[in-house]
Amino acid sequence: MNDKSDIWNRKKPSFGFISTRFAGLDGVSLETGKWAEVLLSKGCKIYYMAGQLDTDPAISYLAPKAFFKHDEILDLQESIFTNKKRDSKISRKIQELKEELKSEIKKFHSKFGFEFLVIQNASAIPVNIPLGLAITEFIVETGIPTIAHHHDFFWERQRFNSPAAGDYLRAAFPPVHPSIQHVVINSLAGYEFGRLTGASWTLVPNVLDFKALPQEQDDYSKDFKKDIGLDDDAFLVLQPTRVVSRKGIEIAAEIVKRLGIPKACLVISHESGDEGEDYLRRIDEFAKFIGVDIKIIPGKIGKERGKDENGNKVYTLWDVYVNADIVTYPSLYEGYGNAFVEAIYFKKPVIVNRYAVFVADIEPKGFDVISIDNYITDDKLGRIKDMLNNPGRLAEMVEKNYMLGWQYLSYEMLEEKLEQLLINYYGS
Amino acid sequence: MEFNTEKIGDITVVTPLANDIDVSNADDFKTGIFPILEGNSKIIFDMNQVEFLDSSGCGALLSCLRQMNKSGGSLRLCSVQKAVRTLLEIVRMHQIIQIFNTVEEAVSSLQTSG
Repeated sequence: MNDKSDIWNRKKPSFGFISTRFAGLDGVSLETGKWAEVLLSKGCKIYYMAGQLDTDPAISYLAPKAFFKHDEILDLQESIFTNKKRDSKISRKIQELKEELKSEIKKFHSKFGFEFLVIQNASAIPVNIPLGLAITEFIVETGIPTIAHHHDFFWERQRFNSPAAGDYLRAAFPPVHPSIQHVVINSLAGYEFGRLTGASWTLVPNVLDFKALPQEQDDYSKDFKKDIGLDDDAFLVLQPTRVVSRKGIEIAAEIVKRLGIPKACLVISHESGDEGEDYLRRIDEFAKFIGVDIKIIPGKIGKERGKDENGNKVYTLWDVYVNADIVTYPSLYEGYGNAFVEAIYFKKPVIVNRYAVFVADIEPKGFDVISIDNYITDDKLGRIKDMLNNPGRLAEMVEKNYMLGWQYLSYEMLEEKLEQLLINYYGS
Repeated sequence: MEFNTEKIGDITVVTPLANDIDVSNADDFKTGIFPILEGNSKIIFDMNQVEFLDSSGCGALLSCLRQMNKSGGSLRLCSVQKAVRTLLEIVRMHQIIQIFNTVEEAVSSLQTSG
């Protein structure tokens, strides 16, 4: 037994997770669930506070104004990020809400008595400035050991660049304090965070539980193709993303067209979300223009298997992966690339664009994928065809990728990182 | 898949008679081994003949571990060839399943654990 593993025997601290929301399928909620799973498996206790929750009420503390879509917060945020000056009334309102939320955090802490605070993105992306300020003051006033897990920073989003907010952003997004350990999901974000704040950081990429082998096709999932209007022998190209412009879905459509595989269909799993419908319309028109069958199927996918209001089967995203023949991921930008990790986990061949984080953090691990540089060439197309026509090569490729995923992007890797964070605090 | 089994006191040493445990035979491995697990609470897999393990093979071993944990039993590995051991270490399975160099060491570990 080495020193690092021993930390879990010596210490089993409890953790209070805080964010604006722990509910649904957003990336922060999903990743938080994985951290919680690992910590629970080590015998630690977990508690949650947020403005929207679908966690066990017995271990949760609901503070409605922590939610970024709470009416009062939305009004405040709009005022701050659409004006160049901040009205003094808004400043006062921010202070009032900050005090209110700090009081909520204190109650959360008093109720459950956790030893570590874990901030899940609430101190990185300023969608609720009073919450970020409240968290900062709570940490400074209590000195509670804190892990701040940053998924995306304000400087990565143009809409948060406002002179009416700069003072708050510098103070609390994220705060720098001796009791806070910062965790980022990609190294590029880490370098920029370090440059701007001078604080150190730990890289913890998004993970999956590779030791639990992926589900296989079963009686439920085998109906998926038929249910979205495809024949059983259709060639399913999965684009497991939302329909937003940075996903580069035109490239995926072009790949489908140029592969020329009979009955090929580009299936997009998620909707356009809150970024508008313009790109969705463009993709629809583009696919028609080049003659590619495209299906956008968010209505068929739910958190769990079941039936929709019309009695039709609802599938999980995992059911969709099981049915995919190939996965396209031609993103121009990603914070990490959850869909890439999922494709590796499901042992699917992947065509990926070399977005910055892929080049910095994923490619060096040695994954065997077809990577492109913003557009598809004849050479790459030939490589895709060779791969698809050579089952032996395909099997070797996906197996190699799975084992690399297990090595670098697994719960075991996360456990080691969390061990190190605890050792940083408790000592080895 | 075939297995050799040997009893040492209340401990059952199982030797998979296969060079590979991979996607092609992982289900066979599980089908064959599960009845043995059910009847015994202290199991050692003697891996001396296994030269190659892939993710499905790792998954099969983990299924066995889960089965043993569920029934309150214990599972150890021993005589793991170098390439297989390296792979188990890469995916940190050595932190989940205890691995010993020899059958004797594994037996001793199970005897002292009660």
